Amino acid sequence: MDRDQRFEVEILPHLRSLFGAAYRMTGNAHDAEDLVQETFLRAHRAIDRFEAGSNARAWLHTILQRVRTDAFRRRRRRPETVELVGEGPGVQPAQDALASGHEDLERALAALPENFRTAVVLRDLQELSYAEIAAALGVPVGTVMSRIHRGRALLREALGGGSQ
Amino acid sequence: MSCDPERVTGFVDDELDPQAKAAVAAHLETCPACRAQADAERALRARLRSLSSPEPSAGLEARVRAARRVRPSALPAAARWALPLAAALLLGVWLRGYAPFVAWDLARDHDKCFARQPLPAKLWSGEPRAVGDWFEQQGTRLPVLPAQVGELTLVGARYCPLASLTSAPHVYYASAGRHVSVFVVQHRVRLDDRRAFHARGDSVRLLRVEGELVGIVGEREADVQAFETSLRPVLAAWASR
Repeated sequence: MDRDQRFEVEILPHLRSLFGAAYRMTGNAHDAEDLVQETFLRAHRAIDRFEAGSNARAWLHTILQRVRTDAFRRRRRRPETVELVGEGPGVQPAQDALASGHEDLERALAALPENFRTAVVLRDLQELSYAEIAAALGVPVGTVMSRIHRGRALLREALGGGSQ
Repeated sequence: MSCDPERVTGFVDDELDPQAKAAVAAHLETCPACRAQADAERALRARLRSLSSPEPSAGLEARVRAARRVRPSALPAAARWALPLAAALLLGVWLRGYAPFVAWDLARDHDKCFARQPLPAKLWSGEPRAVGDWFEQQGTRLPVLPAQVGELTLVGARYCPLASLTSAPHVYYASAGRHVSVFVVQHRVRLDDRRAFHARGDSVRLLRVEGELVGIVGEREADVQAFETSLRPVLAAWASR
């Protein structure tokens, strides 16, 4: 298989899934499409470095996080390093999901601080392992577990499910 | 073990090592609060997984496919260096026959040789026949050049390497700080009406003789002009031999 064929077979099928994650990370379709487009272009350029048989979605998320970091750096703003609960920009919930019966969950997810939201999206929506999330975000596995824990705790609190 | 809510999260996700997993499992048996956390996280995870995924616009996939085609890096590796190499070769072939470039190259060699002490001659002679014989021994037939033009006298000769990767017979004339070189260029040069050039502060004349080209280079325009006048009949006779 040449590069284009590999890209077609192994990478491109993840486009929709990556868009879903990017949408929840950025909060709007326009930014999400830009993010995903740049991610896939970089993936195409770097396809030789993708190990066949490994998790393509995890690899794409590693690239996607780098694209985000680069974009933040260009804007001379860094992603907040949140450990302060309740801060950070909330994002608008997905409009088409509002009629799905999960409005409260969408709203609560969108309101999570960015680092927690990213960890929860990668784990619960994208189903990456802790090790894959740690690699994508460039943080220790313990930090991943901590962020997922706090993200879920905040979600449960927002949904009125009580605390642990 | 005491309550460790983060490890309960790891337990729910099945991300703990076997030892920690066993410890949390045992703890959950006895701790209703942690058990409730685990149940709540499982329920939340199930809800999150059931969220519908927003759809990208129809154009996204098309844009990804189109954009990757125009990326230069999408070229095979060989094409990345083959194209510039081919362009350089074409430029080289074109320059080789470009008269102003040949004039510049001859002036460069003239300056280089006369800047050297002693002059880089292979043959030292003021005798035209000796010079002609020496070139003939090397396999090049030249017209019989004059021993002297004005005050400039024949001093020697050699083959000089040109930028076109050929070597040209090069004959030296000198007189008290004035120098003239006569070259015979043995590859095709595109020469139109223009035959007088100035390059690197030198005056250069290019004269076509049959398939070859005779180049005259000197610092003074008048010297080069005098050589052209003197060589014309010689070259005409040589061409009709």
